[in-house]
Amino acid sequence: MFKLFQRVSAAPTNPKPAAVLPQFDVAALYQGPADAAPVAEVSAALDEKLRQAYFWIVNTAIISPHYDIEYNDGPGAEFALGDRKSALKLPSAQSYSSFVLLPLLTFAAQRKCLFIGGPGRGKTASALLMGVLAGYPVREVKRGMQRGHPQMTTADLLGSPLPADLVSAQRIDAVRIAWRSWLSMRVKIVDEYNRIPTRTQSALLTLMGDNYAELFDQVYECPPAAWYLTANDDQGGGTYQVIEALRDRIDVIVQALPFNPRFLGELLTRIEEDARPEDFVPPEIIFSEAEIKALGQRIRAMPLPEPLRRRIEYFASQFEFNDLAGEQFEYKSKDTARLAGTDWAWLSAQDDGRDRLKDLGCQTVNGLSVRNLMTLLVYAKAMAFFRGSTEVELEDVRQTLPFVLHDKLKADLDAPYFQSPANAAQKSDRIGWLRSLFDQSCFDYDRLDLDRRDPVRDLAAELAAGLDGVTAAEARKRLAAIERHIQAIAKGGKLYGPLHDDLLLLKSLHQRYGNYLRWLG
Amino acid sequence: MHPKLATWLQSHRPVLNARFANARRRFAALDSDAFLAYLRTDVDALASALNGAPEGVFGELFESLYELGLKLIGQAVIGAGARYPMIVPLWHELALRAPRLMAQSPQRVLSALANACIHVADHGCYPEFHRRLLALTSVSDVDSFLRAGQVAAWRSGLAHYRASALAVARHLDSIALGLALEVPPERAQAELSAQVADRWHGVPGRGPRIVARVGRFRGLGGPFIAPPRVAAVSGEWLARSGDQVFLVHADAFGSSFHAVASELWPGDSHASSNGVRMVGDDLQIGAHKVPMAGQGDITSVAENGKVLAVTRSGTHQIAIVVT
Repeated sequence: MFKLFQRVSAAPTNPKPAAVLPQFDVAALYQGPADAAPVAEVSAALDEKLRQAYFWIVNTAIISPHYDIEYNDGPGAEFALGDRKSALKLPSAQSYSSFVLLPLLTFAAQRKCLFIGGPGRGKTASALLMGVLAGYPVREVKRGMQRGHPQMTTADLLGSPLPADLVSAQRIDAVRIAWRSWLSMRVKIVDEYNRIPTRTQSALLTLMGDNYAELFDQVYECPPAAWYLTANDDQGGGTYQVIEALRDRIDVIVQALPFNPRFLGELLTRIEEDARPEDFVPPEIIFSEAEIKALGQRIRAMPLPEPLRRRIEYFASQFEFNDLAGEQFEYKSKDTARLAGTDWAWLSAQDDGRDRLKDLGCQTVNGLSVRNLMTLLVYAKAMAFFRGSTEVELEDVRQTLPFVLHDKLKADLDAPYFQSPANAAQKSDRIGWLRSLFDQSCFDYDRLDLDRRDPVRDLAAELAAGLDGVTAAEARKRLAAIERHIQAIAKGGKLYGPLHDDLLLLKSLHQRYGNYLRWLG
Repeated sequence: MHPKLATWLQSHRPVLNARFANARRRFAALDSDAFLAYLRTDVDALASALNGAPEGVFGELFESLYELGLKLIGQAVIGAGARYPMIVPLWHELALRAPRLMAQSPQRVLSALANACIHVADHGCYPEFHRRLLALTSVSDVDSFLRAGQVAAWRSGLAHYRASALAVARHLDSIALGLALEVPPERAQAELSAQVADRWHGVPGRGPRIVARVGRFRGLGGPFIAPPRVAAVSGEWLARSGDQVFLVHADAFGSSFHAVASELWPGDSHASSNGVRMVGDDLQIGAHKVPMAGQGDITSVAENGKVLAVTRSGTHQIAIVVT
């Protein structure tokens, strides 16, 4: 019944021009719009299957998709609307809805996604669909879903000791635990996680962070899983404040955008048909355990070109540096100030040496962690894999970055940048701000022509080539080159984040050559 | 209305109505009147054609026809103003001529024929395919019928299926193979071997000669916007016309063209490199002369085995010359 709900795109979902001569098989004669054979027999490539899943969700399950992840392969049309000349862009390449795509990439890469947005906007329904994609029956996904509430205990979340053992056991590890069945699922859903009491949040943190549960000295190792959490508010609201470490474990945040009443007819049809898309997920887009594992491997194997990596490095370098936070060069970071409890307003008021409008570091109160950067790389790879690319492209990074850094890179709303009327909307639109931040960083990178002229990269590459056969004279020559370059930077005057990181790298290179010379004697 | 159809519709009414409502959500073009007309006339006629079939066949037949009707009418493939009006008459003709084939596996036969009609009609060779397909109805089972149908499609002009159709033909028994190759069963294997050995087998004449002229101006239904040029790549012919590059398949039964990435074009192949030139109205190939009506100078020559593809500046056709 309702087979039409189960239609999966038969044509390539992101066709690329074939650079090889096509092969023809007469079996294709009997394939077409009147297909009789179950399509499930045709095994699509994993990236194609992922795209089929995306398009099935967008075309069938989500009523009003927003195409906010915009790709262009040429100039697209752009219109300025209203008094504020708001830009409406019509992308020239296949573009995507973040509310569907990011959770799907989370599923493929087995990471953690938080849905935020007001009640009744499809957050839980989307999470449910991801569970079904992993091959679980709808009923099982619903039963496995943890619903946050103020009385939720660790036992509700993880399981309970067997009462008989509690009475008779002589040792604590002899108490058997009835673990909750959801712990073994490959898709884990926690609804309204900001209503969970703080103590239970700590148990959830262990589960999310280390993938195991512990009760009565007994440990339950969970399989790798994609996590979906929902919250009506990501500002720490809800019944309980969400502990910082738990928030930090979330890899991407997607916002449920408002419903477009133009699609009311679709809602009406659903009411009249009494049908829910999750009950009709076609078998062709359900991923087996082996396929989920293979997805993760393929995503990790997606190449990320060195020039693109350099741009990410340059972007990441912008934010942590703070000249006034530390005396020693290594401690000049916002984190040093935060750990010392220094008043941020006072600290930023002292910082008068730099152009606070141009310095991107002045727009944030913190820097990026290693976990943030790793997550960014994984999602950029997942995006490239999803699009069927052979390697990660700049646009893949640009489009995933705002969702990864959504609540990781915190804006300093008192910074001069946000006081400009042109940037006022970015105070509330974090996605727009983060994308703009990356664009500004790339603009700066191009202005400095770092793709072609990057002496620090060249000096690091010399060392990375190895020290075998490097003579003492050559090592001294390289040491002198490092010192000359530091001197050149010093002449430039102002110190910014990327320069600070370059200088720390130069210092480490200097140490390595120094140690090598000492070893040579 | 056929009583079995009326009963089936009545007993499945709520489910069928729900399926129609869902289909309309998917296909805006699905018209209720057109679908009702399809049920009343086309499905009814097919049920009547299969009157003597076992009782159990009708359930699958109606189920298949209902589902196909939703899909195909919804996409304007069949029904009023349809793009492929030959599909339903072909179903009906087959049900009348070979009811036992239809009864063996209604869903498989109906959908395979519908898809085949679409492919063959898109290449402009449906009349030929229709004639050849109906000549296959005396085969014993659905598997043989569908395989022989694949061979018939190739021989109707889908030249790009030649290699795989010949592979399919090897699995046919002599009766089905004879029907597919249009020779008596005792000559079927020999004919198959000859076809495998020579793609121009059966074209009249001997020695160097033109065996086919393929392609034409796009305004007349062909693929080429401008007189093409040819090149040989990996044992295949490519033709370039304007900015587009096509993979060219040609044999004794017809030709087909498929657009490919323009990066595959290796560059023009000139006549002089193949020792071919025009002498008056003849094509001079070494010591041989091939009479060649047409206009203009030779613009390209591509060699594939002992066969040349030759283009001239004044025509949109490619001459295929066996040397």
